[in-house]
Amino acid sequence: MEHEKWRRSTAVLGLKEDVSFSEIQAAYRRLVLRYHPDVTHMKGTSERFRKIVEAYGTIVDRLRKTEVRAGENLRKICSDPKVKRMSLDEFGNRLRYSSSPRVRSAAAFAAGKLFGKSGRCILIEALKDTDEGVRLVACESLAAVGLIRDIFCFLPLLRNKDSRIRKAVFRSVWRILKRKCMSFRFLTLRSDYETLSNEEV
Amino acid sequence: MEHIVGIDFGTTYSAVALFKNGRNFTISNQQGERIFPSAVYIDEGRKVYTGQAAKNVSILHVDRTVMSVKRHLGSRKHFRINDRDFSPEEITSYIFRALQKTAEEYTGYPVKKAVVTVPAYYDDRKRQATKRAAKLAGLDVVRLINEPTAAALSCGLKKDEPGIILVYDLGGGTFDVSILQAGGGVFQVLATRGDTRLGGDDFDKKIAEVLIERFYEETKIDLRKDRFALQKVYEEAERAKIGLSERKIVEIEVPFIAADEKGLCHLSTRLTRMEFEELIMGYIEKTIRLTKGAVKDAGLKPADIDRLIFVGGSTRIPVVRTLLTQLFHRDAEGGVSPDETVALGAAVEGAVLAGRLRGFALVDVTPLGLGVESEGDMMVTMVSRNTVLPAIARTIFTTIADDQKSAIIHVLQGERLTATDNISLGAFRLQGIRSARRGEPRIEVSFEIDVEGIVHVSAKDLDTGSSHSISLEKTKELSQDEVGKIIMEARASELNDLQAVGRKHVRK
Repeated sequence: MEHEKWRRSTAVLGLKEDVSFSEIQAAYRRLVLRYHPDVTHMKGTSERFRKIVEAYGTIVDRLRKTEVRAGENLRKICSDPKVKRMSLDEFGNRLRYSSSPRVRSAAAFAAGKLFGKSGRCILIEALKDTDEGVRLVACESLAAVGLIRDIFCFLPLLRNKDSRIRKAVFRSVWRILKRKCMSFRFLTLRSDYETLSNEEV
Repeated sequence: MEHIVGIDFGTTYSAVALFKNGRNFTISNQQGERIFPSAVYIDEGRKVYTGQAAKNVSILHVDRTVMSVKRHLGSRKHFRINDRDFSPEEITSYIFRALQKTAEEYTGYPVKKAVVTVPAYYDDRKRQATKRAAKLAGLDVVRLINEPTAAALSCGLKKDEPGIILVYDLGGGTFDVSILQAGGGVFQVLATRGDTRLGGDDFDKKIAEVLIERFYEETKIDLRKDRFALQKVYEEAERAKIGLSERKIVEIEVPFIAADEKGLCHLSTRLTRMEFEELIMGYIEKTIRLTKGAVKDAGLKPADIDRLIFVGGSTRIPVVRTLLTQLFHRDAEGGVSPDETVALGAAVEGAVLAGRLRGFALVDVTPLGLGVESEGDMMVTMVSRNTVLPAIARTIFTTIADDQKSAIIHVLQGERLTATDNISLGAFRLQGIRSARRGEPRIEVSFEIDVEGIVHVSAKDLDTGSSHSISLEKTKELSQDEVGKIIMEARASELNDLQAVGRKHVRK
């Protein structure tokens, strides 16, 4: 039922079912600019416009719910005894070779959670993943365990189109700085961070 | 090619703007002012003065000038001047006519079409009243848009980048806060909240109260009894408020304000910024509460806000700026002219509607829930707040008595559960319901809210096909008392109430 709704909503926006949020957003904006009663002079587009808005609303609702659920699932995975026995290499393999973004993000999350600082190498690798969701998880996890030099690994992500990722990067950099630099030169770094964020965001 | 001007009709100040040759600008009148006081003065010869001219004489002719008429739009209040009653709409139409004239003088062509802004939290009744006022002035309102949305559009034209925008609009008489998602030229409103009776006027009143109190302690003369003096004090209070945005302390001097046995009395005191902030803190805290509520409605956290836009003259008050910046950890934008932004945005929307500007679109929401009264003074909400416009909703109702022939459809707007606490938009009677046992007939009530936030309602008996549709403009012909009478009648007989059987939102 849920899936059927999702499929129908993405179809209204003229998309396939497995698309990223930024693609959905772009399609939605394109359609609004074409079918909004203000900008079009074609007759009978208001019905179409309503359908587009409704479909987008459904998608946003669903995404918000799944985001919450995904967070819960990841925490559950880490408490699984089988996962607890896995070695760091096994997580690395899953991250590199699994075709499912879900498995990849779970691997990234667990690596950060279970291996702490030694899981960093895997997380840095996950930052370069092709899927946005995986990159987001990697960002957050690395923020919890990362060292100062890891900040540089985040920087390429700032060129990302998705503003959610850019925001996550800033949050993560800030968290690392806060954790590591409280005692020395805290203020200068803070101002650096702020100029950095002003330029980009 | 025709021009569609943008009009910001504010409680204390109004402005008119135009989009031409790829940029938008506010039009100044012959005196060179770009914002005009929303004041109207009618002299003995029935000649009407507006703007600064009217404000200047307001002290001399307190009973012939009307200020802050926007506060009374949509109400039954009348202004008695020259032995004639003026409705708020009529008074407002004079201001619209003055703005129209300003635009015509600038363009050299007749200006017939306008985009008019209203506070986002305005209910249907006040929206209709605004439209009627413009119509009286001979203006065709192509579109009503919400003030914060207009402001976001104006700022988005300058700097178009994706992100979440929060517009904090504290004007002379109303407060609005809207959260929008912008990107690629599309401005989607996520949530909106506000208070239609909170603004700079209230701050002036607070200061005036203090001044009157101090004067009374000194001289034992109550200025409240003297309308001339009262007007003077209000004016001085406004000046003090404006001064306190720049300075830490202001001197207030009003010579010859009253007289007693010993001679003339002068009001002479000083007010510090600290004292002023204390006076208005209650109001400011309320706006902060509403702002936090809007952020929550949008499903966001304060950290998610990318841009903070200030609109309205009252956002110049330093304490407002500090508190908001603290809440969102962000510097505010709004440019140098927070009181022109709204008119500028309306002009952009006018250009979009006229087909002069491409690549921009607004997707707005309804600020208040909409529904009908059902059995036992309950409101059944059919369109919840923050629903994207245009919206359609249908619900099936049934009768509560055997052989019920007719039913009253009483349309309500608001967020309260009990019907009497909400705003009544109108009522009509659906006749010719099929004779049947109670609970058997199926009556479908459908609501349609158009892009301007104006409501159309229809009711239909699905079995007999008997239907009654109404645009709520029509019910305005009924006075509020008459609507009340119909409803009282319905309650007394207790036969005409409806009962909600199933909630079915067909389409949002």
